[in-house]
Amino acid sequence: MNCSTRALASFNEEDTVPGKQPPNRALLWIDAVGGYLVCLDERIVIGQPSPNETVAVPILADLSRRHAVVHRDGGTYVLEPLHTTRVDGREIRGPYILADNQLIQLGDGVRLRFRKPHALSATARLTLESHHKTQPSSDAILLMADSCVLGPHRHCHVPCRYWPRDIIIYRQDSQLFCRADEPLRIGGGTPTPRAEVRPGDRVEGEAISFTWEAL
Amino acid sequence: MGNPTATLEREGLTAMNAPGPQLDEADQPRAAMIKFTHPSGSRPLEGYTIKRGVGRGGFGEVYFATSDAGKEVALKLIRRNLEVELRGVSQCLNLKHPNLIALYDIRTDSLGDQWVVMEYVSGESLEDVIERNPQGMPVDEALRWMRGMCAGVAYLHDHGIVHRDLKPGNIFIDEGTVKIGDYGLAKFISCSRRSGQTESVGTVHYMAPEIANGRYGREIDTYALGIILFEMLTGRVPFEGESVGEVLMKHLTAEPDLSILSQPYRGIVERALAKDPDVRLKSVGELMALLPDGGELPAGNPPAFHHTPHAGEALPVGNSRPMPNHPNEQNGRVNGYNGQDSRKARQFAQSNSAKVEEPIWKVIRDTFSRDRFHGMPPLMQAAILFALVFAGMFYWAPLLALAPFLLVTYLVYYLVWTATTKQKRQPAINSPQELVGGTATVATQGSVSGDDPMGAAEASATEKRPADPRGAPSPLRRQRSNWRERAQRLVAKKPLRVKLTELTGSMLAAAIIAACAACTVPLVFRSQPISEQWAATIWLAIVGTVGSWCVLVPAKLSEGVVEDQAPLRITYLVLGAALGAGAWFLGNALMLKIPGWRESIDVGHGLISHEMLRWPQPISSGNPPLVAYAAYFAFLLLVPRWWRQAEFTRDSRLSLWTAFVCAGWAWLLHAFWWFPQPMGMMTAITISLATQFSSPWMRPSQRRELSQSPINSYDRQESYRRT
Repeated sequence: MNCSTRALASFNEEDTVPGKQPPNRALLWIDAVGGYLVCLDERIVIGQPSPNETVAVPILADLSRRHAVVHRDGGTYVLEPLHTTRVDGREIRGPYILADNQLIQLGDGVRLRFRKPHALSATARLTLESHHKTQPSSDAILLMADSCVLGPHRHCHVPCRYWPRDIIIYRQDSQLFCRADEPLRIGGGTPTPRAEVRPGDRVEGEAISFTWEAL
Repeated sequence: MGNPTATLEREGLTAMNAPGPQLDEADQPRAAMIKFTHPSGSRPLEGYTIKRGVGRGGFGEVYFATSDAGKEVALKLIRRNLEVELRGVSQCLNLKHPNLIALYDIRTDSLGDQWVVMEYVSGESLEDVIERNPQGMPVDEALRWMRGMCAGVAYLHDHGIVHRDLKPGNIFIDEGTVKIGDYGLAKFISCSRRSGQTESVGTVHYMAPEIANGRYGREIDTYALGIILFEMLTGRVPFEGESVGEVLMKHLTAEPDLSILSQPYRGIVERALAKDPDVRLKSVGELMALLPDGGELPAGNPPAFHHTPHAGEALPVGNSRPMPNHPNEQNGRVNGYNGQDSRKARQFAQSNSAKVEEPIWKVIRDTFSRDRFHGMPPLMQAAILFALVFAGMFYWAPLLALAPFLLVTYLVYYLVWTATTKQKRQPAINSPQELVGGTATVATQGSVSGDDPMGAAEASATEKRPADPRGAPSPLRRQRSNWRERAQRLVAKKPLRVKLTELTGSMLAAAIIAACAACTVPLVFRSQPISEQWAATIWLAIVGTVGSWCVLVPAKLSEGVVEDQAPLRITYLVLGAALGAGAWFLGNALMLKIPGWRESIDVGHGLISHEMLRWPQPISSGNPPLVAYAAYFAFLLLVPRWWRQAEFTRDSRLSLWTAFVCAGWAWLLHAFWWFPQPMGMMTAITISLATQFSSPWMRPSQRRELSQSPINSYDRQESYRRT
C-alpha cells in the first residue's frame, strides 16, 4: 500500500474496524437465468474475501480486504474509496456520486459496471466486467433498495430474457414479498399473485422459477 | 483414424417429427419455460448441492451445483428411462483439451438416474452471441470462435469421436477460451429401438444431408462447422424453414445462397456444405487451414494438428494451404481470445447494449410502458382510458395544436442534449472496426487483403429476414418452445367441426355483447331526439355484431393454420368494405342521422377523402355516402391486428388497452378518411370488446399445465381443453 492509499484508508475508520455484524445478503438463484448476490444493506463494503470477517461483496481478486464502500442515500449511490479506485478511468480520492453506466475500477484489474436501470427504483446492479468472480460466485451484484424488478425488459434489474412478464421483489417492514401478474407458488403453498418470500423459499410461476437463499 | 461410430445405430431422443415451427425445443439450452426437477438447495447426488437450473441440453436438464468443498460444477441429469448406454463415455471422460468442456465423472444417484459431472462454464454461449449480433458478428470475433471450435473438434476426431451435435447452443466462451460441450453424449447415448422409430440425434439446422442415410462420419461435424461459420457471419442459418421437414429437405436438395459472404468465407462455406460427404472438406484441419490467418495456431495446442493425415484423408484439392503446424508460435493465446481481446469484446458488447439514454424519453417510456399499464388494477386502467378518451374527444383541437409545438421543443432539446452529452462520454469502443484494430494481430495477418468481410456482413443487414409468422413479437433468431407455441399447435390440430362449434358459440356471445355495448349510445348522444338515439343504438348493435363476426371468422378459421399476415389482412380489407356497405344500407334503412354528422362536416373539408371524392357540400342526407362507409370500415379492419384479439393464446381475456388502441386507430383514421366521430370510435370499441369477450381464451391454469407437462407427451395428445 502506498502513501496515498494509506491516507485514503484512514478517511473512513469505521469501515475498517472488524467485528461488525455480518452484512444482510442473499443469493437469488434464477433457473435458466443466473445467480445474483443481493445486498440488502444501505452500506456495502467491497473487498477481498477473508476467513475472519465478511464483507458484503467479496471479490476474488488482488484487492484489499476492504477496498471500497458503496453507500446508498435515498436514490443516489456514493462510492467511498478506501484504496485505489477509479471511475471511468479517473482516480477518485473522496466520496463520489455514481451515475448510471459508470465503470468502477478497483485496484489494478477489477472492473465493475454500475447500472441503475429502472427510473422508478433506487436499486442498482454491479456487474463484473473483468474476469473476476465474487465469492460465492454470482452473475451480478444487486444493491437492493425497496424493490427489485425481474423481467424481460432492459429496465429490469435482473434481465430474464425469456420471461413473459415482470416479477417484483420488494421489502416491507423488513419482510420480503414477491408480486406478479400471474399466480406464484411460493414455498410450495397455494398460488397467489403476492406473497411473502422467506429465506430458502422457491418461487414458481407459469414459466419461471427462482430460489431466495439467505447467506 | 478409426471410426467406431460407423457401426453404431443412431436413434434419437429428440422428436424430429414434431409439426409446427419448433425445430429443436428439447435441444435448446436456456430456452424459456424450462421446468427443473430439482430445486435450489437439493442434493440429489451425494456431495453436490444444486444451486440453480442452467438449461436443457441435448439429453436432459443441466444444473449449476457446488460440491461440499465449494467446487463449482455443472451437473447433467440423464434420466433412467432414457435407457442410456454410457459405454463409450469413459473414452470421453479422460479427454483433455482446452477447447472441450471437461468431464469429471459419471455418477448414479439413489433413484438410478445418471449424472454427468462436468466443468461449469460461466460465459455465454455462441448462440447468445449470435443472437446479440443479428446481422452477423465482427469477422475477427467469428474467426476466434471458429479457431477454437475447429481445434476442439479436430482433437475429438483425432480420438475417434464424432461430435454429431455441434450447434451454437453447445459452444461456450469461458474466460476467453472457446469450449465445446455435449460431445461425449451425442455420440454414445442412444435409445433402444423398441419404439420402432429411427430418429436422428442433433439439431436440424446443423444436420448434414447424409444423416438421412444413416451415415455418421466425421464429415457431419465439418458440415455443422460450415453452417455455424455462415451463421456467425450473417446472423442466420443458411437453411431456414417453418418445419423440421422443410429444413431437412433443404439440407438434402437446396443450394445455399452464399452470395452475401465474401471470399474466402464463401469458398470455405461452400466446400464445407457440399452435399456429398466425399466431396466435402475432408477434415476440420483442412477447414482451419482455409481460414484467413489459419496458420496462426495458438501455442500449447492440439495434437490433432501434429499428427499426419492418414490414408483416408485425401489431400486438399484446390487453393487450400498446407496443414498448419506452427509449434514455435509463442503468443500465449489459447485458442481464442487472449485476456485483452476478451475484455475488449465484452466492452464492445457492453457499449452496444447499454447506450446512454435520453432521460426525459426514458422516464416517459418507463412510466407509460404497456407492462406498467397492464400491471395496474382493471378499474384503474378503465379510469385512465376513460380520461384519455374524454380528453381526446373534447380537447383534441388544442391538443393537436400543442403537439407540433411540443415536438419541436423536444427536438431542440434533444439536439442540445446529444451535443453536450455525447461529448462528455468517455470514449467507448463503439465500432467493430475499433475492435478489429485492437486485435489486428489476430485477424488481419494473412489473406484478408482486398476482401471486405465486414462489409459483407453489413451488407447482409439489408437483406430481409423472414418475417415472423403472424407478426408475433419475437426478437429471437428461432422460435422457441413455450406454452404459447405449444398451445397454437394444439389449436392447429383442432378438427374443423370443433372449430365451427366454437365459432358459433363465439358469434352468439359476440352479438349479445355488441348489443350491450350499443346501449351506451343513448348516454353519449343525450342531446339527440329519442328516435335518432334508437336508430343509432340499433345500428351500432348490428354493425358491432357483424363487425366482430368479420373479425372472428377469419381469425378462428386461420388460427394455427395460416402463418402469414397478408391473406388475413386482405380478408379483413374485403370484409371491412362489405361491412361498411352493409352499414350504409342499414343506416339508410333505419333513416339514421349519425349524430355529429352535420355539425362536424366542416372539419372534413379539405381532407383527402373529400378532395378525392368531391363530396357535395353541404350534404343533404343525414348519412355519409356509401363509398365513405366502405372505405372507412375497410381501413378500420385492415390496419390493427384484429385477429390477435381472437387468439386462443392472448395474454388476457379482455385487454382494455387493445380496445383503446383500436379506438385510437378509428380516430386517427378519420383524420384522413373522414367519418363522423365518436361513432367510428364507438364502433371500433364495440367490435373489439365483442371479439375479445366472445373468443375462447387459455386460462392461466391451463397454461401452467401446458408449460409443466413434458414436452412431447402433451403434443402427442390430440386432445385439448375447451375454455
